[in-house]
Amino acid sequence: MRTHVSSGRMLWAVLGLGLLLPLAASAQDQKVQVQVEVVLASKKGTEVDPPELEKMKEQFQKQNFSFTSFKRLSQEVLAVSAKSASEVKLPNGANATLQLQGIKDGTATVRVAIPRQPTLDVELGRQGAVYQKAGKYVGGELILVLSPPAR
Amino acid sequence: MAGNPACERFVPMLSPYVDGELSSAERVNVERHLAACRDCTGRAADLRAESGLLRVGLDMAVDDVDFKDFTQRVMARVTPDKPPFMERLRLAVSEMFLYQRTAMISSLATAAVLVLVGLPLLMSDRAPVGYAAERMTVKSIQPYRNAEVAPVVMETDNGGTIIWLVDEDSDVLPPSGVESGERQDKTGGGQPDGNGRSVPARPVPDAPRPSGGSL
Amino acid sequence: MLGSRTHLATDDLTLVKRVRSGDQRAFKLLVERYQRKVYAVALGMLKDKEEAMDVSQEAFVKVYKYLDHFKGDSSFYTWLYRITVNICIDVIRKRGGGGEAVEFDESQAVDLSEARIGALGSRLGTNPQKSALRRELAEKIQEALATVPEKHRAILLLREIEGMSYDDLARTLEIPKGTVMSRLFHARAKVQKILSEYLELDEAKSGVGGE
Repeated sequence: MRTHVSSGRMLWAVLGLGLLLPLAASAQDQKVQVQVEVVLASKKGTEVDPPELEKMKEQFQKQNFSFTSFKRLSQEVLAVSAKSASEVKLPNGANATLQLQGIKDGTATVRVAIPRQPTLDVELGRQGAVYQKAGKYVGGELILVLSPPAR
Repeated sequence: MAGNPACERFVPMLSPYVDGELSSAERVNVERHLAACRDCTGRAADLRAESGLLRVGLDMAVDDVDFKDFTQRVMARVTPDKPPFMERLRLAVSEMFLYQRTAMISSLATAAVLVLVGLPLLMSDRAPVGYAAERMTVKSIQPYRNAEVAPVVMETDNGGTIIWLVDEDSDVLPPSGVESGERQDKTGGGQPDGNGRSVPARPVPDAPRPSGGSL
Repeated sequence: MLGSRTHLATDDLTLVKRVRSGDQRAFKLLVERYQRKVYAVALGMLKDKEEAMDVSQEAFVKVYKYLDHFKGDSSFYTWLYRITVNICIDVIRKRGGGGEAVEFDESQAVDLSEARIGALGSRLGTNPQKSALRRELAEKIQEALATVPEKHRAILLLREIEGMSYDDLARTLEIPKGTVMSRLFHARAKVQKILSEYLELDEAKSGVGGE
């Protein structure tokens, strides 16, 4: 076929790209996926919305928090990179930021900064979640929840 | 029935009259006419009946519908799920298809890319990038500026971590539980040292838990 | 439920502000507040239930997407209904065909010779036996709506479903208040005419006497 030669070259180009792509990805543009939820916990009422938050309510009550109602205000899966911080809008007007600090032996560390709150460095793991107080809002407290993205 | 010529003037006003949209002067005029005109009184009654019917009819149609999932469906349209990974890959590859005209190139290229790019990504698909560790853990805490209160770190029994900041006006944790500066040695970690540097947080299992408060 | 306004406009604006700063739950509350009425308007405009449901959802999707464009200088619901009506009108246009709705000649003198004045009012009365008639008529009314040109239909629906004032109607549909008044009048007259014709037929069939 006439196109044999050029197709061969094309093929090498494509193969080359195929090799380079994953390598490139692993260098600079590292991104990790983190699920971030903003939950409003309050002592008014007993509403748990959505029902999956029932577990969160149990855990908090076990720690002797007096919250009776848990409502999810937002949920998103962020691709957190090292280059630039990802922002999460908090309903009280502030922004929480997440930034990848690095990946060591396959474990990523993400820095979480919430205005007027301590800054956390969180090591990602396949189980569990980190609940951080994120400020006051409409008769309750905001809680930022970091967890592995749901599969 | 031959229309009373005066009615011609009033009939168009009956609609806004029934809606309560006439000025008080106009309303008085209309009511004066209605008192004297049976036809127009009937017309006004017809308008009201029609209004009511419309509402009843629509009410019934709306009641027939279940709005339980309505908001969910709206949100689903607002934030469509990203197509699953393999789908995205296939799309990316099929876009390459378009640029390579020759079928031979396309198929070889596809195979090559799928193998070289797909495989490593497929393997890492089992545990997403960065999630080699088993648990989400808080490695360190940097207190907010010169905060006098230290964050409290609690471990839940399903492997989660709660980071809480007790401030004065917060009555979430009862005051008999964690007292700010005084408990530095007992909470075992997550404390700012003198220079405000962050210290690795190790929730100490035997630290006194905030005791149950007003639940 | 329909035709009532029990909330304050400021409440909506507070929710809007919250949605803008990331509170998705506030958006959910807004949707729940208006979903039935928006659906009712869409249904009245389009007659088809599935289309009306689709359009209703689309309206809220647009609201969410363009929330930053909403300036808050008008009420939220006028903006919401404007979006809803515009989508409906687009759908109707796309359906193509002359359809059954013919533009009114509003310059025509008012026809006072309509038969059976007061028929509707008296027929419906408070007689419980008439409730079956009421249901039937209510269904007929939706058919009658389809014969009204869409712009007139929109005004009638918004007036009856949301109880909008003529000023609000003018703002929502971006037409002068006088136009609102005359369109409402003509739309109602047309619907009434169709209904009373239906009533006459019905009476003739069932042999029901006068009032």
